[in-house]
Amino acid sequence: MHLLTLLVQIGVVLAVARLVGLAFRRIHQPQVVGEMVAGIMLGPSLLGWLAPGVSAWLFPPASLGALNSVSQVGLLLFMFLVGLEFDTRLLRGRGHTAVVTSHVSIVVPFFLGSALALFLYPRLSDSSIGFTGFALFMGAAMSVTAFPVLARILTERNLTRTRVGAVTIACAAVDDVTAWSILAVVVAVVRADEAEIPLWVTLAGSAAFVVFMVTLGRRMLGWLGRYARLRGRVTQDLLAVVLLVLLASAWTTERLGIHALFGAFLLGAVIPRERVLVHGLTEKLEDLTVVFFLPLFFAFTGLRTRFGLVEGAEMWLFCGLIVAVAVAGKFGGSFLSARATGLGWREAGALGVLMNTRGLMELVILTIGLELGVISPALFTMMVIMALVTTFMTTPLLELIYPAWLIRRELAGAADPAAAQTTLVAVSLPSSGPGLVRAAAALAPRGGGERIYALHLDRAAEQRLVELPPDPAPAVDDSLLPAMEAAEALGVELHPVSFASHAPARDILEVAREKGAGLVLLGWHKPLIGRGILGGTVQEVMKGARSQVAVYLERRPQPWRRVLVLYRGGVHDRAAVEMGRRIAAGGGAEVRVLHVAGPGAGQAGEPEPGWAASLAADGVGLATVESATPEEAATLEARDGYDLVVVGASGAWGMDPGSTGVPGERLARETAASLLIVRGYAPLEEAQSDSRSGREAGAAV
Amino acid sequence: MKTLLTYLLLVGAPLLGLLGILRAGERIVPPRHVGGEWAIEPALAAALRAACPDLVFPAAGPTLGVSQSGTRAVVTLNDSAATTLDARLDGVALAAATGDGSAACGGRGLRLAATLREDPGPPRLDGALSVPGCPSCAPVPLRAARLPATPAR
Repeated sequence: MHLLTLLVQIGVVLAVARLVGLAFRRIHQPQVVGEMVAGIMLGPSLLGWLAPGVSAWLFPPASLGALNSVSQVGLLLFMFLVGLEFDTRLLRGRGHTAVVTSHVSIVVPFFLGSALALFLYPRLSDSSIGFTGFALFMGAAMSVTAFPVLARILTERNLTRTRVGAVTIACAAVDDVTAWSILAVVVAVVRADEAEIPLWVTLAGSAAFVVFMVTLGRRMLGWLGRYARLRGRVTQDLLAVVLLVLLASAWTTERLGIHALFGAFLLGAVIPRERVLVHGLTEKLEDLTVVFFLPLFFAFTGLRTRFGLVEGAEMWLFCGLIVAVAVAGKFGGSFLSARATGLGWREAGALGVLMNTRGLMELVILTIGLELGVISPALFTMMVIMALVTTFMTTPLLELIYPAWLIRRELAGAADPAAAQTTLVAVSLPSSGPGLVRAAAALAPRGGGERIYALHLDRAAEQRLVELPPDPAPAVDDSLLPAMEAAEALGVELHPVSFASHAPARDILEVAREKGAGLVLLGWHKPLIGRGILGGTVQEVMKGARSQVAVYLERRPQPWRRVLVLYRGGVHDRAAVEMGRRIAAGGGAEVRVLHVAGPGAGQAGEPEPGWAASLAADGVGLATVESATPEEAATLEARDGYDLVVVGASGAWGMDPGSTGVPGERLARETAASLLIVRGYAPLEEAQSDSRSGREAGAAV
Repeated sequence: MKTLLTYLLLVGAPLLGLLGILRAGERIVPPRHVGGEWAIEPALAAALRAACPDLVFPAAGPTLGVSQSGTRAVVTLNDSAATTLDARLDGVALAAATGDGSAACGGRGLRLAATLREDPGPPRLDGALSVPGCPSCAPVPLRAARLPATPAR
């Protein structure tokens, strides 16, 4: 019977957590915040209040032991993963800002939390717990920072490679270890009265165990890393060994009188930082922990969170006071120390907001406190509210203080005014990088002075617990490495830019504007769901760019021997011809312009008198045909063994980004050549358009 | 130098302050501890039921659970309806009552008044359970002893 109940409970918890988590993502909150809220929704505060019968049926008191046990196993895995992401390399080279800020961000909230205990102890506690244990616990609970949520927010907002991000991640790592060490002492002190072993044995034994783990233990565990590196992955046998060691470590700390979770965290922290091992363990354990176990823990926490206990103005005043002290301690302490050590107002503010994130780490600590009887049920509920508020406020406050556009601008860097032509190459897939870079080099104007940027946008959709620390050196995204290698082979200097993005088109346009790009070059990859070449992101970029845009569909790798440029008239076709001239100027390719004129138009549609001679001077041939169906004429010609067809993004060729889909783009479907679709840009026309419409920004011509 | 001063001010001073807080806190007298499970004398079960027929206790005997948050508490009887009373603690006096609109005791409600006695021996609650909606019903004496706390984990 209990198994059936447990299965239903797990199913409901997982479904609700997923739905609420996704809903929170829609409002730009970390998914984990939504899952925490889902847990509370399933508890007496909402479900038990709205539908007590359903709540009693779903979560009968006798069944909660099993749910708790499962969630405790999940917490062990979670704390192991948290320890796994702690890397002492994060602390190196961060300077005195990180050292001072991390210490202050622990000590100030700890002090304020303990001071608050003077007020709360006679009001929300009782004689079963001494003031020292209560005050130290309140201090530790106020000091904690949610490293996993923080790391996630930093990654999503592209802050990891900024100075704020580097200092924050170092501070959060120090805070984590310090808070858990303090909590271990608090737990030992609180448990001392009832423990089977004396307090000095607990403290001395715990210290000895920690020393053993960071010295001999770490050395003994070294073979795990070597084994993983040798095999190139984490095998099932290796995973079993790690889990056994994890259980042994957790058992030891629990037996010593602190808590099993410390053992799990400690093992994660001392395990060798062999990338294959850390990546492998993370991959194998993280998804199950995030998707399965943590929602159960949130649900169990929610079952013990009773908003009904916070009743009346006085209790809500206490709750407000707790939130205020938590924010003042963590935000205020971090902000002041960051300012005092040289960070600007904006950076210090962002650091304070980030450090103020409590997240699920707070819930873990509060759960320990409630189980030990250090905090009362009402105080537990108030502290849960504090954890939710401080976590929820992070993203909007960060956007206010350190907006995303500013971060992108900082990451992108300023434009190079000395550059004659700047090309921005948007690399989506690593495999397309080399082709795009070669195309960008071929399209650059001759005479030097060109500057090429390679932009990779990472779509970070799933929540992760472990964000491996960023490389302290100016990093090149792995996805750009093939492009970098191709550039090196060509002797072209390529400047990499990469960050996470929720809106790739917007970010490509913004970086192009920041860099003063004259040309944005995009690759095209077949999407899973049928879509034309000029749809989606490509279409948005083509419509919004204030520069030329070219989409490169590579079928025949370079070098191009025969190049066909299609011309009928208009700004896009003129831009295509200009591209053809540049390719010809690079040498090695026979470039031919096919002018498809209307019936009876002849050479009337040519852009300038003596056009043929001008093209010939640039090594470009010209042929003119008359046709009422230019797309058909172009397709027939393009089948004639060309390596590349350059075509303007216009409806005449079936290449209109505003209306095409798979049915159009016949040229792309019926030829085997590579395709370069060019969208021209004419600032003058834009200016006229602007003056007519009163708009500030330009638009596609 | 500035960094050192900052460190001393923002780290050293709060640490010293913490020591002061811990010393000051030792003088604070918190509310008495009434939380936990209390076993009501089994002989009283029949009297309780006579006063309030809704109170059907399990064969193991009646108990009351107290979830305490400072001077506030929630008292829950282990009867079939898990009757809940909101309680206040004033010194050693515990006063609890069902809320407005409670269905307890046929809608007449329940009230508990008890005194915590801590010496000698294990803590006890001595008092009476009454039915406020029934003036003619005599209060039922209530004596309960605290059950040993289950290990925290």
